[in-house]
Amino acid sequence: MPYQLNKYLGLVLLTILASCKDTVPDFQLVEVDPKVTIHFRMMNQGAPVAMNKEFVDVANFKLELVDLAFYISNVELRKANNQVEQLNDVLLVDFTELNSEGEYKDFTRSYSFIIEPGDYKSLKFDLGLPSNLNASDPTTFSNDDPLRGTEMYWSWATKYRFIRFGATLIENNGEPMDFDMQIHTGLDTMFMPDLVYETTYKAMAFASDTLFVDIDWNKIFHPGTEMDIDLATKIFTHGTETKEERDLCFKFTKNFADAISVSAQ
Amino acid sequence: MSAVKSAFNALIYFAIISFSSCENTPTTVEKRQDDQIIVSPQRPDNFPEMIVPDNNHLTEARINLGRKLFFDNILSSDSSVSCASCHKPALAFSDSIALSMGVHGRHADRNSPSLINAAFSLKLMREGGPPNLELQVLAPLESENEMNMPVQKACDRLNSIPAYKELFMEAYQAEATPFTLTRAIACFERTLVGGNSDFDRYLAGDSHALSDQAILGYQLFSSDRIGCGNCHTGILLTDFSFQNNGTYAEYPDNGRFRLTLRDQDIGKFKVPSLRNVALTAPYMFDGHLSNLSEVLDHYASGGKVHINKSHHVRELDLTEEEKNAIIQFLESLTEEVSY
Repeated sequence: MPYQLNKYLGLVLLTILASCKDTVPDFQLVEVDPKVTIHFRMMNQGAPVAMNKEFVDVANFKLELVDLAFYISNVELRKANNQVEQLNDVLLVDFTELNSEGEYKDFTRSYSFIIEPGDYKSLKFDLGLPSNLNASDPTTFSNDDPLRGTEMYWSWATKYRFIRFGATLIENNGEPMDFDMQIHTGLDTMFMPDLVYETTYKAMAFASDTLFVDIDWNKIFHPGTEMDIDLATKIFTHGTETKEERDLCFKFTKNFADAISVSAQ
Repeated sequence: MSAVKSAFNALIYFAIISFSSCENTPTTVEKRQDDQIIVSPQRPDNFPEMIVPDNNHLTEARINLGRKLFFDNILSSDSSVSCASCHKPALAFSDSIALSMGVHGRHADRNSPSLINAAFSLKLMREGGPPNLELQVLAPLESENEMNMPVQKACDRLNSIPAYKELFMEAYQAEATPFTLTRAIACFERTLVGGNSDFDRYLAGDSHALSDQAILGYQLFSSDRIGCGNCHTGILLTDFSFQNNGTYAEYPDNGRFRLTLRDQDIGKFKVPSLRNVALTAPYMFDGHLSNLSEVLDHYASGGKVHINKSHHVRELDLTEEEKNAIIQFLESLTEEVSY
């Protein structure tokens, strides 16, 4: 596995141990813990999907991804020796974030962490928020906290949405559709804990590594099993109104978790 | 003697003993470092304890700010409605139409409930989502059909008005934020406490406070045969449970199911307090029953067949005289609340 020496973190830190008596400084090499950056991408047939750009999926739906944000919690890297490296309590992976020019950022949403050197075997997280965090009051957090704000919040339920997903369906097999589909999931019962994604890599001092968390669009909607979700049915749901909507959102959430794969590069 | 009757009699006994010491005036209990006087929420002694969050003690400045916000259209996206548009003081802070009108002429999803004594409820709204008044404020504020106002946008709007900035600084030593905005309105809502109805006076020992008809209605209400008191119990006339009362065979709104996603919660809604019920027509979660007579007819019919229907809702043999008596009792539950 290739390792890049990060030109910033790889700089040797020099600690100057000067004393009154000694005008010649001593130098001490300080080991720098490795950095890992996790990139989240929506993928279609091996290519990343950009926000608001047309693509055609394996079932011949032409569409655009117009909204995607989701919470993961208790994010951990697990070492081969089963030691756990805690990365974060809560991450809001928000593909609708804009850059300084007011445009969507590139294909990925990235988060960086400093970790211990070692052999790692998997990335683990929960999809959604555990009930204690899901019961949080969004008005009490600081501006940079992922639980701040109400864009992901169902105020009627005083719970957070776990996945906020929207797409514009343009065509199905050449037939125009022109429909804005929406799936919002949330509530404690939709919480999916302990999702473990295998990926082996060695994190070395001074190194900066990259993990790609890819979400396969076609595995969400067209896994080729009884879990298929028919986009032609023009889905618009928050999963909370009827049993049918609830069941669809459970299926969507399960497929979403199954559609994730992690690779180290 | 039945369990229901025993419970009710015990309640009356307790109420009579305690009513004499009712105190409806806010009491100064503490002076803070910022010179704000913390007041205790007014509460008749026979009412439950009012839970006030540690981060939102009541002060006059906060109550005044909350009151001003409550009546100000500025909190709706098109500046057409305020909290008071759907929670009218003259109607026990409820509304007279089935589904209140929100921004751009849209209608709310459910009938507007009374806010009087809402501070004693541990779970708010019909399906019981918000655990306190502070968080409940966000629901109508951000609902597209009601005020349609993202809370941060509301704060930005308020902070652009010097008078509001000053009031927020006085109340919270901070500008308008989602935190201070929701806290201020909750403070005002905690002052909407009743406890001075004819029924309360009757419980306190004034035998003339209720007519003979109303007393008969009260007896019927709490009797095993009619059984209203199975759910509408306690001094607030609710057990705060969630029940399916057979309003529909197929519910257009699945109620508590929305929150729990459990089949057994389909069609269940929070049992409302019956205090001020004579002022809060129309009735049921969607306001489809126009008056109390229709409500009693519904219960006397035993309601629609539904797998989750409460076993307390069953066919009743209710005479017109009995019905009128119960309505007179319900009318005795009207309170006066200054605001």
